[in-house]
Amino acid sequence: MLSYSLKRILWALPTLVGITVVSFAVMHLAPGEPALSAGGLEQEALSPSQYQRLAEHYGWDRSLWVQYLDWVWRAARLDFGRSFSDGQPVIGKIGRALPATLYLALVALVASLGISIPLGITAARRQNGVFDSVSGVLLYGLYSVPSYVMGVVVILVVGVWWDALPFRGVASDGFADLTAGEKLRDLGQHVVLIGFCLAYRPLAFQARLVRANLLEVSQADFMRTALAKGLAPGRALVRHGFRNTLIPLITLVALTVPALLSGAVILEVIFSWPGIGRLLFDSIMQRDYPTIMGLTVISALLVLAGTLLADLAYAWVDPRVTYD
Amino acid sequence: MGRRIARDGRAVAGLLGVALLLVVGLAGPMLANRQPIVCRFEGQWHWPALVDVVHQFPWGERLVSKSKPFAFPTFEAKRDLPADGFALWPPIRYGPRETSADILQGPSAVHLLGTDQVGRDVAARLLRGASVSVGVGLGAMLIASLIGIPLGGLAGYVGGITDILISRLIELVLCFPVFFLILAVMAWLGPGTGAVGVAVVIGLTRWTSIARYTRGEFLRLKSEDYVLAARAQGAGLGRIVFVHILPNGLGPVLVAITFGVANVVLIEAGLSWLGFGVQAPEPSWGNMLRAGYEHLKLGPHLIYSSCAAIFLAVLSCNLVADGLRSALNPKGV
Repeated sequence: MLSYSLKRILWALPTLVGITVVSFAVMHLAPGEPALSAGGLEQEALSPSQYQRLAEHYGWDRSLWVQYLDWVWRAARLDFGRSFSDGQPVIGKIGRALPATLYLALVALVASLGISIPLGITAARRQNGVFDSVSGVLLYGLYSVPSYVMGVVVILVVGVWWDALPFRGVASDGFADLTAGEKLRDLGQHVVLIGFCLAYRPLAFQARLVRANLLEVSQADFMRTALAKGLAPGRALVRHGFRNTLIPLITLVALTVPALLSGAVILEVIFSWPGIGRLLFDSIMQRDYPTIMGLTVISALLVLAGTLLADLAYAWVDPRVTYD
Repeated sequence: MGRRIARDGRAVAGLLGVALLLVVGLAGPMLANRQPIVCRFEGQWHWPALVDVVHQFPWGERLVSKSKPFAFPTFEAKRDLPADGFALWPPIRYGPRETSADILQGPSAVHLLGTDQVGRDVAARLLRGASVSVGVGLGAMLIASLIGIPLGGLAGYVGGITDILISRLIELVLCFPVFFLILAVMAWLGPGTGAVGVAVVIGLTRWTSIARYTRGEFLRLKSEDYVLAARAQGAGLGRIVFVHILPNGLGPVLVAITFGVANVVLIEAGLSWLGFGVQAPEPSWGNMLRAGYEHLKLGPHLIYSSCAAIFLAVLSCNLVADGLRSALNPKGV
């Protein structure tokens, strides 16, 4: 277990280096000098001495290697430089946007797991029964609806026609003046629509996976033993069967993390949610390369950490796992 | 295998959907066009809509400009054609960029799916937008296959340090959330990249699952008896790979590619929604959905049609991919 964990963590190091290389390349393969084009300047329009001063300021006069190592050294201390668009430190901008995204991802993850597991178990209890067939078709259809399509539809139906829930931002304008109870209610109301839009695709996938794994496990010898000793079928499925589907579920949750971050980009734009997806979109519109680089690195690190944790949890749950 | 798919109702429905998508994507200009398919003008036959079909391809322009009967029409059929002149019209008599004074109108007999914010016919844009989805979907997956199959095959067949390096590379690409990497590259190109740029960027970033499946298949098949027999007989590397391994391992790779197409359609529409990729007035389902989002109260009909199109395209590809998968692996759930 310990040696597996150590090996797994060591294997993540090259990936970590790769992440920094790719993120650095994203900026330096860009045509033209990004800092100039962001400021609306043409290189030809500057005098050589002006250009020289800018180049020294941004460090373009040094070799690419030195620039890369310098950037990595600063990135390791979470210094991604200053934004081209408003001069704020990039890490501060990301730090302010990250909680909204993590909050949303957590809500979506809890909601999807909380619904998909009972759904999958219920469907598996009666394979090919009415509930199984109906939920199977519905979940399959739901999985094929892109989240931004669902986003626009729920905004139209629930937000505009029905006018039942707010669909812009994390909280209402006068949030600070509300009492604690009203604050909770306000936050809850704002997260419902976007949370649903982010959660339903992982939910559909997870429910199908739980069902499929349960059906596979129900053929196992220990299930037959449990039934033979007189345990009720439903209890046997939950107590003995479900436990054995936990391992693929852990992997799935880890795989859901990038999907949650990625799916959030368009949803955050649609719902005016002040998270990192929206920040990325704004930065790209303004060609704010330091922020784009910072966001690329941070999001990739989150995914790397997620897969690493999942692999470790996997080994912890199932002692048979070894590094091949 | 074909028989197994034919018995699978869902897969057949998916195949029908994909076939419909391909037909509409290729023959879109003959289904919705401001010019007739064929007409007689000033004593000469013209095929304007057919010319448009050829024009969809990058090399098409050279092809038609040289041959007289298929030359680009210099007249406006609706205005110039005499009332008694012969003309065979497409079912939708509007072009995707043809504006009118009737803005944001609901569905009617004149405009079957209504009009958008500058008076363009939604049905025409929907039909012509299919070619973007089909083109980007197939183009991106072609690029992804050209990267993923050789890399995956190399990793699986050669093994050792090559395998380790390629597997690390796959893991690295997987670390970047889809839209983050694609959007970051899009930042170089700026908004208005066009369908080709979108296909290239998506193809360059979405090859990992193809590579992983190819690697798995090569790993499994290279120690099969028939491959060993071929090697013992002195077959060259090319023969072993292309004759013995690739045809047998193509099934799972095909599943990955089909799922990939569904994903690309979804990503492309998302990028167009965000304002990258295909720009108005060129039609794409993503920018139609965006127009609907911007006119929620006045033009909800803009949303239904593009939503339905994206949903059905993604669903069809997923159904076909699932059908393929269960046909290849009948015991699996």
